[in-house]
Amino acid sequence: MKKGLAICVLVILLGVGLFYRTYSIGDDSYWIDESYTVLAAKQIGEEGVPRFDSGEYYWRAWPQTYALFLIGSVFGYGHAPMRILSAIVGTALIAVVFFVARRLYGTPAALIASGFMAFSYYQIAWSRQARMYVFLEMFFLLILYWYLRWYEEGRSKHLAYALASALVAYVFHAVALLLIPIILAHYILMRWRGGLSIVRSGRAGWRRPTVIVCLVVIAAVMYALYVKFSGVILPQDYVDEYRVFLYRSQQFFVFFAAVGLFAYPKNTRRNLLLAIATAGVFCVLALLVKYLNFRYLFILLPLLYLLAAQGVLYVVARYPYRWYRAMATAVVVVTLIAVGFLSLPQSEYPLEPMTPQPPFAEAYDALQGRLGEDDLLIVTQPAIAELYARKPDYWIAISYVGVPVESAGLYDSATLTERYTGARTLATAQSLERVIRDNQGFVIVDDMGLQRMTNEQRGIVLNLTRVGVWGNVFWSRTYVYEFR
Amino acid sequence: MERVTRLRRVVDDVFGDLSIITLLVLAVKAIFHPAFLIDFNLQILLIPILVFGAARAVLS
Repeated sequence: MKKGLAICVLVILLGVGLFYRTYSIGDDSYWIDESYTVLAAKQIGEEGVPRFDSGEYYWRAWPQTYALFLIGSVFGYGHAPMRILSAIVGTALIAVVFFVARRLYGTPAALIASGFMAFSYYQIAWSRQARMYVFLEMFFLLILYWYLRWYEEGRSKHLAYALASALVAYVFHAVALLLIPIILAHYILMRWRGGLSIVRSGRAGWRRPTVIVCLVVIAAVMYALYVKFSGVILPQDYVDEYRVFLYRSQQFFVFFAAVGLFAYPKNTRRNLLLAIATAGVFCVLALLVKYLNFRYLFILLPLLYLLAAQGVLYVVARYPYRWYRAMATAVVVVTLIAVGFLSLPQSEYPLEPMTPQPPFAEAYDALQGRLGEDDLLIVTQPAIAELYARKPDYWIAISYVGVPVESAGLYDSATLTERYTGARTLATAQSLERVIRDNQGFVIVDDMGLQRMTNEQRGIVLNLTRVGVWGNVFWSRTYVYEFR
Repeated sequence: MERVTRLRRVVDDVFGDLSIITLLVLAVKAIFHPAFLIDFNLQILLIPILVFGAARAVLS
């Protein structure tokens, strides 16, 4: 394929990708995690550093936070200005995937992989959030790329690039550290003279099957041990949850990644790194990370798409007949449309199961003019309240993370201040009842807040006068109650 | 040597056919939603793909 034509297609993909990532980008309300990022950026204006009123620093992804502060200083802290940076990085990631894939697998596979990136629902959805995941994803991919270049070419500048990418990725999110043991595993596996090198080189006839049998036996023993001891020796077991999520949301790509892994023997060694990275991150997330967060799987999608692109290319180019290639391409495109991969841009993108995205902005808009200075503001999402109205007076203590609120570290049990905004905490039903009885104001809660309150707290809130409900989907609704 | 070449060709062919079958099965399931495929656990298709793929990598 001519270089100019490939670049033209890439430019079109970038244009389409940017359009999908910015389409109605300001419509959706901030959700919980976005509110922390945006509030931290705002706090830089007051404190010079990302420090909340509670005194807690928010250094995670600080380059992004400072960039958002600069953007916010010029364009304000609205939805669109706060999200546009992620959208731009998400679009740039399409180009990064193209250039990485072109170097590793050639231009046709690069175009297919970047096409997958441009239209992927999760790539689009997470590129529209004022969060750090898309930055993390980019540097995660760059670590692997520069490591591969160093491994194959032995030039120390590539290793320096890999280390620099690792450092930047770590600044955005500590999950990047997972790559270090994975890269080590790949390095040892490939350089281990008595092991896979025998398989690779095919030197010793009888030793090759022996090594394969040994590897299979080791894998079987490890699996048996896992089945026997899971839940005992391992702190978590989200294997099924993550597996089902990945399989259901990326079924087409899972199959073609399996094909792509072995489609071109000359690529198998490179693909092995992508496979080890995918499997390694998956296993650590599923077995060792305390919270079930499907968003972390998102960083694996470029690897999946790189593998799947080779699989698709292999199937389409399986026979040299023009009619076959045209038909196979058509089947791939129609299948992608049928599974909902190629869809029209949306203004709202539900992110993942169990992540509430209530329309807080609409609820707080409705309160404008009604919320007096003497009114108390009692909420379950205090950072959201501070962004849309003012610092709340009280936070009803609920856990956001699926463990009891007392052990979730969301408030200081001595001073009863909430972790981010420093709002006073109502940790018991009695304290909530007392505040409501002696004052007037509003309680603003979402489905998650209502569900995770104690029965007594919920009973008190539900007995108040309901002003309104915003949102139609369970888990993503906002309720406003009034007390006088 | 000749036996290995022949075996490699067979494995190559099976892997190639499996990849096309995979595309067709996914296409039929996505487009027509036939009942027999809705109930069928497609994940089982991954096993022969991986087995023949690994064999292909080893033999090449």
